[in-house]
Order: sequence, then structure tokens, then C-alpha cells
Amino acid sequence: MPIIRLEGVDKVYRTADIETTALENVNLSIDKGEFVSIMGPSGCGKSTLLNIIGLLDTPTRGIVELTGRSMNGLSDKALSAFRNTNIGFVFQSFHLIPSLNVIDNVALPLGYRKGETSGERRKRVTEVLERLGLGHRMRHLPSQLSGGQCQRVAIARAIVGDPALILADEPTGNLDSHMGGEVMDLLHQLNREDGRTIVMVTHNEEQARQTDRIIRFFDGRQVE
Amino acid sequence: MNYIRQILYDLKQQPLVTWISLIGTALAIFLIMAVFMVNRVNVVEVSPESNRSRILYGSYMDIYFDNGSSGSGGLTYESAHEIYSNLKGIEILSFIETWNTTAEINVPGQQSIDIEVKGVDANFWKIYDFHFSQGVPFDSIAVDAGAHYAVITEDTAVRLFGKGENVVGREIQIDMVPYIITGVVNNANPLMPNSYARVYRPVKLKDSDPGWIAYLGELGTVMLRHDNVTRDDIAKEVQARYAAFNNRLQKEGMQAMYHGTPFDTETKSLAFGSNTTPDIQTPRRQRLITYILLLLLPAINLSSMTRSRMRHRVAEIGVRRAFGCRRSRIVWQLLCENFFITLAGGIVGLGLSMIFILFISNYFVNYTGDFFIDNFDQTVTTPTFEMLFNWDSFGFALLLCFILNLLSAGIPAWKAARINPARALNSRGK
Ligand SMILES: Nc1ncnc2c1ncn2[C@@H]1O[C@H](COP(=O)(O)OP(=O)(O)OP(=O)(O)O)[C@@H](O)[C@H]1O
Ligand SMILES: [Mg+2]
Repeated sequence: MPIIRLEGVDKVYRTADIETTALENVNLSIDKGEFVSIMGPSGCGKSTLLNIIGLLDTPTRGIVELTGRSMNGLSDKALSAFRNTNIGFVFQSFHLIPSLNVIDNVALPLGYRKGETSGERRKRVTEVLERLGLGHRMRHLPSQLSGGQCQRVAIARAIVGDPALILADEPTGNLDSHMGGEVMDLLHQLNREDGRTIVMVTHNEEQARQTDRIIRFFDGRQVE
Repeated sequence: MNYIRQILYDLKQQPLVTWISLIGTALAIFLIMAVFMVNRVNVVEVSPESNRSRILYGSYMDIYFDNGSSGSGGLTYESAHEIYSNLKGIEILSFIETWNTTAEINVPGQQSIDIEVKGVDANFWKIYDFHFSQGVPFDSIAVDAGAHYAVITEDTAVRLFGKGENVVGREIQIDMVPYIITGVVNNANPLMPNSYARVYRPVKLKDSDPGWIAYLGELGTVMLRHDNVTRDDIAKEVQARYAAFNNRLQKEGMQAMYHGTPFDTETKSLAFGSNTTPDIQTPRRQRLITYILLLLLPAINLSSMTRSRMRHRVAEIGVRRAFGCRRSRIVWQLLCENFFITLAGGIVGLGLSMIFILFISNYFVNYTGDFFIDNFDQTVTTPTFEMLFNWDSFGFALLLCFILNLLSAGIPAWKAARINPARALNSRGK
């Protein structure tokens, strides 16, 4: 059973006078445990696709199924809960909350679920941070970290809630090739060791080739 | 904890907007609290009027004649007795002079000064909780006998005898008539005009001088009601007394108008004449409108400040939404954060309003004291800290903070929470 299934998905952005078709009739199926790259020229709709898979945006038309359940028409409450337990996000510009230290940033997703004591949460956060080699940076603010460290904190935040699916939009886009390589190793590790499904947008052919499958987009349409 | 951290962060990142929010809130709360506390002086329960919630007044008589003329004023002992004695709901009834008189007072052989005098009976000292720093009040035997006893206030004692003197048993002259001091009280305040005077002496009851109409005089009544009856219950009783009273008056060609007595302290403060029915609804409505305007206008300004502070946090809101935070929780978080700013501003505003009231009351009382009544003593005429620092003020200020917070942050927070998360995440730096 595919963990992600899109059927006939369109996304049209309407502003006052222009209509932009960001996605057109996208049909897509990604299996559990796959590591998939999405490639294509700038503006072809890659981020739009990832946002729709991540339930951050709704398609203009078409069906979105995650873990076999239809996501169309769910309430804000249901969508939020689904994101919280099933999806981890990694962004190009890290998107750490500047006023919170590393621990609190990583703990963020755990704050939005019930049934865990703060002690249990803290233990989870510490474990994840140590696994990612950030044990000595827990009290730092994002502004006191390097770009590579920031992205590792962001990855820690993405996996702390143990989601089956990780969506990464150009995770190495703001990093030099050395730090980018480290982040890629980390993602492969999460895919291989934890069996997490990863969908990653990238402009880097070499990175893409190391993944299980490449999906190419052009002008809102899937071309490969 | 994180709320406070966020505010400190805001102060660092957007000092101008955050400080303006803080100061704006402080000013708004300051203005409303100043109005509130000025009004509060008429209601607040502090010594000697700690029993205000149970104290009632029947102070005036308003009589119409069949020939069309009319007269109004205080009561005589007879009319006061007929209408207010032995009411079922009343625990203590006191007869006093409705208006203070100014008398020339001196220690024998010394220069006299003009001082406000009130004639009161023995029950007066039971209804009002004066603190005696020396001696005791005069009792009902002394009042009935018309004894020349006096209770004076602390500041009067100092002015007549100097500081630190034991004055109980000493003689003063009131309009040339000798009186013996039985006690000294330390807390009369002109802001509480019903209990205020500088010298208290036994009121003349039986031979009190009837005015040009037999039922109009100088007297008034103060009552302490039982806990388990309402003012309205007593008002019904009084109204029935008026009906009986009028049955008799009719034969003499007169009618006494009933104006809704007995009054509570707030109503009494609004009774501008002895022949009118006080209207408490209009001032209350005006006050409410004042509060609403004083809240709404700053709220509109603060709202744009809040929006500006929230604009910097759109990306953060997107991140929180992505990781499972519901819209309602975003609204709640933003409201809570903003509440701490409002609260900080509120505390500053409340402090300002207290300082301001102490300052202006000093100024005004000094002014009238210098030019009109040269025996006013400013230290006693200012509102006491007790009158300003009480739970009512704090509670009201807190309530204002809640409302102001909702008004100024409610809509921005709601809007921020409704931004599409994908778009919010895309907004970085913009
Ligand atoms: N909120 C929006 N309103 C209007 N148009 C939008 C919006 N978001 C994206 N678009 C348009 O949709 C198209 C796809 O955008 P998208 O961000 O998905 O591209 P992308 O493939 O991620 O590009 P890049 O590689 O530069 O990140 C673009 O033409 C873009 O201008
Ligand atoms: Mg993109």
C-alpha cells in the first residue's frame, strides 16, 4: 500500500488578475520506506507539490491520500493532528524559531500532542539531539549555530515525533557542499535505519541519483 | 515562561513597536483607572465608612401644599421618628444634623478658628467605625441630657492644643459655649461627607428648632440595615410609612413627596437637592460609555502595533502549524503572549493613576483650602492609600487588561492563525 497517493491533482493560484497553474493533473504514488527525489526547473511546482503532500495547502482539484486515508475535506483539527504524528518537515531555510533554544525548538512538535509528561518529552528530545551529534548545543539559540548545525536541529525537530514521512524542500539549498553532504548522509541514515519515507526536493543531480527514485517536473506536470 | 521569553525577545528585536504597545497600554489603563478611582471614592468601604454596603440614609423632607407652594429640607425629630423609627430591616438608627455647621472654636483664652461641626447622637458612633486615638464617644445619656461634650478629630486637636497633648477632659468653646472633650478620632475625611466633620457634639433632638413648616428641620437619619434584608425591602417599608404620614398631612392641606429613600451611599452622593429623586442610572451609563471609549480608542491603535509585531512572526506561525499546532492554539498563544505586555502596561498605568489622583487631590484641596475655607487640612482631605489600593481597583484593572488584550490582539491573532501555512512558511524575511 502506498504511503502517498495523489490522483488528478491540480493547483491553481488565483490572485486579483492572474491565474497560475502550479500543478496540473499530477498522479503520484510513493511506497512506504522509499526515498524519492523531486527535480525540475525553478517555478515548476515542486514546493507546491510538497505542501500539498504535507497538508499545508489544499489542491484545487484531485485526491490526496496518505497512509491509505483520504485527506480531502478534513477539519483543521484533524489535519493538524495528522501532520503532528505522521509528517516531519525540513525546510531550505531551516525555519527554527529564533526566540527558542535548541531544546525547545526540537520539542515543538511534542507540545502539540497529549499524553506525555514533560520528563518523557525531554528524554526524547535529548536522545534525538545526541543521536544527531548536538548534545553539546542544547542551550544555544539558533543565532548561535552554524547553518549545518541549524539544519541538523531542524532534522531533529522533524523526527522527534517519530513520523513515518519526512518532507524536505531543498534541505541542502542553503548549505555548502560539505555540510550539505552531512545532511544527506543523515537523511539516508533515517531512511535506511528507521525505515522512514522521505520525499526530497533538490536541484542537485548527484544527490538525486543516490535516492531510490527521481520524479521530474516541468511546468506543473510530471514528466518522468 | 515561554511567553515572557517571547516578550523579552520582541523587546530586543522590535524595541520601538513593543515599547509603544507597552506605553500605549499603560496610558489607556491610567486614564480609565483615574476615572474609576475618582468614582470609587463614593463607594469604597474604608474606615470610618467600612459598613457602606449596609449604611442607608433618610436625610430630606419634601412637602407640597394644596395652594401650590412647597418646601423642602431636612427632617424634624417628629417627622424623622415617624418615618424611619423601628423599621423592621434596620439594626441601628441614628439621628444627626443633615448639614454640618461652621462654628468659631477656641481654647479658652485663645484665638478662635472656624471649624466644621456636626451634631450626632450616640448611635452615630456605632454605625461608623471611627478610630479613637484618645478617650471615648459620648453616650446616649449624654445626648438625651444635652450634655456639652465634644469629640474632635486628631488634626483639630493638634491645631487647638499642639502636638502630642492629651486633650480628653479639656475644655473648648464652640461659638463661645464651653464643651468638654470626651474623645479624639483620627480618621474623618471630607471625601466621605456623610461622616465628616472636625468636631462632633450631641445633637439636639426634642427641642430641635422646627423650621417654618412643622415637619421640616435640620435633622437626618443614618441607618444600618440587617444583613438579611435588602435596601428595596426597607424602601417598601418607608414608602408605607410615607402613605400613613400623608394620611395625616392631607388634613392639614399638605403632602410629603416620596423620593425613594432610604438611599445608599452612592445614591446619596447623587442627591443634589432635598426635593429630587436621584438618578443613578444616567451617571452609570455615562461612566460605562466613558470606559468603552477610553478602551476602544487605544485598542484600535494598539491593534495596529500588535499586527506589526505579529507580522514578524508569520514564518514561525507557519512552522508551528506544520508541526501540528491548531489554529485555535495559535490564537491562544498570541493572546497569552500579548496579555503579558498588556499586564505590564496595566501595572504601570495603575501605578500612574494612583500617583496622579494623590497628586491632583492634594493640589485641588490646597487650592480651595487657601482661598475659600482656610481651615481645610490637606493631609486629611486627600484620599487615603486605603481608598485607592484595594482589591476592587486591582480587580477592575485586571479586567480592563483582559478586555484591552482581547480588543487589541484578538483580531490580529485570529487573522494570523488563518494564514495558509504554506504561504506563512514562504514569507520568511518578507
Ligand atoms: N502563493 C502563491 N500565489 C501565487 N502563485 C504562486 C504561489 N506560490 C507559488 N506560486 C506560483 O506557482 C508556481 C510554482 O511554484 P513553486 O514554489 O511550487 O515552484 P518550485 O518548483 O518550488 O520553484 P523553486 O525551485 O524556485 O523553489 C510558480 O509559478 C509560482 O510563481
Ligand atoms: Mg520551491
